[in-house]
Amino acid sequence: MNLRIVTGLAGCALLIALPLFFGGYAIRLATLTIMWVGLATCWNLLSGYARYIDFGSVVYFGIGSYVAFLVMVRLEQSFWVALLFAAVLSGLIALIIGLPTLRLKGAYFAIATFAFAEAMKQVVLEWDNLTGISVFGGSHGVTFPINTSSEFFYYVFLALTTGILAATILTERSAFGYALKAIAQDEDAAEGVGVNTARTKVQAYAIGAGFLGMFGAAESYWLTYITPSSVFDVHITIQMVIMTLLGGMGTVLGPAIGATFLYLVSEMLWARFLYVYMALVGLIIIGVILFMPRGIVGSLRGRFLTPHREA
Amino acid sequence: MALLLEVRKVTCRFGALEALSEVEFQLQEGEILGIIGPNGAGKTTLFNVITGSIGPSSGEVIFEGRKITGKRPYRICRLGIARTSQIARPFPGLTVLENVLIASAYGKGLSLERARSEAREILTSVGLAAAADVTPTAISLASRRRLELARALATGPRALLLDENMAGLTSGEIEEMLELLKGLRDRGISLVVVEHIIKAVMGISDRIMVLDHGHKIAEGKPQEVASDPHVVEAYLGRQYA
Amino acid sequence: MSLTFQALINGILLGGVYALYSAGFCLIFGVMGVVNIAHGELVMLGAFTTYWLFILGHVDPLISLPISFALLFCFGYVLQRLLINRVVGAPPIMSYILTFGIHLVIANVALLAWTADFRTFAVPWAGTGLAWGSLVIPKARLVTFVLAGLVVGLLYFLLSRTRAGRAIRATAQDWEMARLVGINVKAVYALTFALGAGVTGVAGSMISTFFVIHPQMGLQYTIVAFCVAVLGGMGYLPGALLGGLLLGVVESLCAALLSPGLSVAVTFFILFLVLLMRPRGLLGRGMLE
Repeated sequence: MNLRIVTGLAGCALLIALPLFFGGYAIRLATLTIMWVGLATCWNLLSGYARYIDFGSVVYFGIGSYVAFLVMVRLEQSFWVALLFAAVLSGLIALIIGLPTLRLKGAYFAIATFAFAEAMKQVVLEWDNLTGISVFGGSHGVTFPINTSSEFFYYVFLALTTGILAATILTERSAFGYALKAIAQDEDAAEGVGVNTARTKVQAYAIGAGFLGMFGAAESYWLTYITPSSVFDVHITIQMVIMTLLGGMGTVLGPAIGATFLYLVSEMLWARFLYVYMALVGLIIIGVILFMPRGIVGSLRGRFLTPHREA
Repeated sequence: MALLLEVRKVTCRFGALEALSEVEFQLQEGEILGIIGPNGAGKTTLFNVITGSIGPSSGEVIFEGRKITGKRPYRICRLGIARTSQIARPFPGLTVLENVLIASAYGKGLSLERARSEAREILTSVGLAAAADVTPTAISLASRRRLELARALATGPRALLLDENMAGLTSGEIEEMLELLKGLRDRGISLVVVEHIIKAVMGISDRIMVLDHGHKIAEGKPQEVASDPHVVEAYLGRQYA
Repeated sequence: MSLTFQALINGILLGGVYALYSAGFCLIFGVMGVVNIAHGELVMLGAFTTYWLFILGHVDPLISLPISFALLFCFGYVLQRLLINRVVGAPPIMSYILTFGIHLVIANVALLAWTADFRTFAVPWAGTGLAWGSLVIPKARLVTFVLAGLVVGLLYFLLSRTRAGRAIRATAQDWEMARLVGINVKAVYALTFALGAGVTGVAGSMISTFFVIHPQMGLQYTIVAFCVAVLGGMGYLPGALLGGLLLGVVESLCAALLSPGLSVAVTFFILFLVLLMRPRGLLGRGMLE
């Protein structure tokens, strides 16, 4: 076995055993870190590899949250059924929205996805008022059945994050991954060597969306109380973008490293110095763009691992 | 010889400009067709129409008896038409091998493993095996042109469209490229060669077609075309005709 | 009926506000291809300039307009020279992530300096409106509306008739060519950004006279500016007027006839549809990346 697999397995064993040794705050911190690693990894699949910058990813997180609410509370089904529905519905909506939207390029794609996410938030907010049919609970928010087991959520998020990481590793090792990278570099040329670019992009978008839906469902059940503003919050998207950018777009480990770093820093600074923290994040972003535009992983790789790849 | 590719009365307008007007030609199996013409004659536009990256205003393209106009570029590629671009545009972030591999995986529909070994073979056949693991930014212009060719070949084409893939090469490099192209023809791939270097096209082509301002002004064997007064006029101006 | 009429008037006036602060955004995109996510912060800085001048020095907002323009002009110039010039020509994602970083820094430093309080002040002359039957036209907004037309006209004139304007247009069309004929491209970019920032500062100043201002107001203005630019055609200046008016009217009518919350949803759905169907803007004059 090579070193990478050994470290990987050891890491997994450690993560699985973690709740046996720690409790309370440490588990909460670990759960949230793992969740952010997962969210950033979802964003990375399309936006990192194919460079279609999605500024509305949170919409699938929000859709997953409200689907979970409808399934668990209105239909009184179990969390697992809710998770399944969240994944399927988010993925399906992503297919429908992705097909036309992914024809747009650059900032136009970014802003279209952003617009869609904001529009969906408003629709969920206003639905009950406008139609008179009580479905989403409007701005008052809705509550979930209570589950106080912090281990339960730890393992749910661990499984989800492992899932999207595995999907990313598979992508990286398959023709699909090469196709996404080719799209990022020259979409017309990719189409010219036989890549069905439209389909490739939509696939990556829908896989990411399906996972985001499950993350939304799990987080909402954990928090037990959600509002449209909390689960469709644009700052969730922004965090995913910054974490991925910081760690390195289009790499397996980049988003994980960026998310862990940024989440832990924010946990230390956030509560006491929110504005200082946000300004600091801004400075980090400016620094990353100007001095290491390929992120932590990209810069390290360029410098130490495969120098012959540098032109 | 059987008919492989047929372009029927293709017209292409961009606003007021008519880049192609009712251009027609046929390509037989195992044939090399040269297309020449001054700048702006519509050669690249013609390739874009055949490979599906732009739709013609009217007319159609038939490949192996099937109409392919209106199909997306990746489908046309998979049916068996590949092209190289005027400006070599490899994927700069992938290695030379990966550039070719993606073409055999998608254009030819091979599994990743088979695509990888086939990509190596193709790189060897164009003389790029040593450069497999570097990025295309690190290799010379002549090598980039070979890479472009390798990538097109990896899609498993029956017809290959070459857009000025000898521009900027030294005469030695041109000789090598011509040998390479003849080898491809002998393997049963039909070629359409757009080229500015008249001598190179004349030597290699079975037939020549001349385009000027979007019109086909001559077609025939190389020697016939070279002595056609219309062609001389298009190239050198009226006083020489 | 008069409710609809009043909503229409409000919408047109609101559209003027939108157009005024979107013109700079349009100019910057048109020349450099930079989507400036820190655009709303320029509005915010302009608004706070006028606010503090009024609170501390009792300077009439109309008099503070040139001051606001000058300050933001300088700020924009420095910003472009120090930071943004480095990503012009890089993949577009670089420019919007960089400007997003700038947005975070400005907004949060402003929060530290001025707290998150919502602020307003009463301009002596702006309290009344012109009444016409049951319809009311607020003065400050009318002034803004006129200013919007003036600014867009002036920018248009500047670009088409002056030497600096010609340099800017030449650079916008082909910066490599512009450099070859002796234009200092970096200086032109800095000048463009400075102009865009200055105009946006003026917009912020006017906004402070009738809207609540606070350090975090920026992002929503950036979003609207983007909508306006997309509707009118990215980078096409007169389009900013059209886009602004359209957005203002739609929003105002929606709020009056349907529900205020829904006007945001409708706005975004319109934006989404325009992007999909007419990515060059309603007039088809904008440019694509």
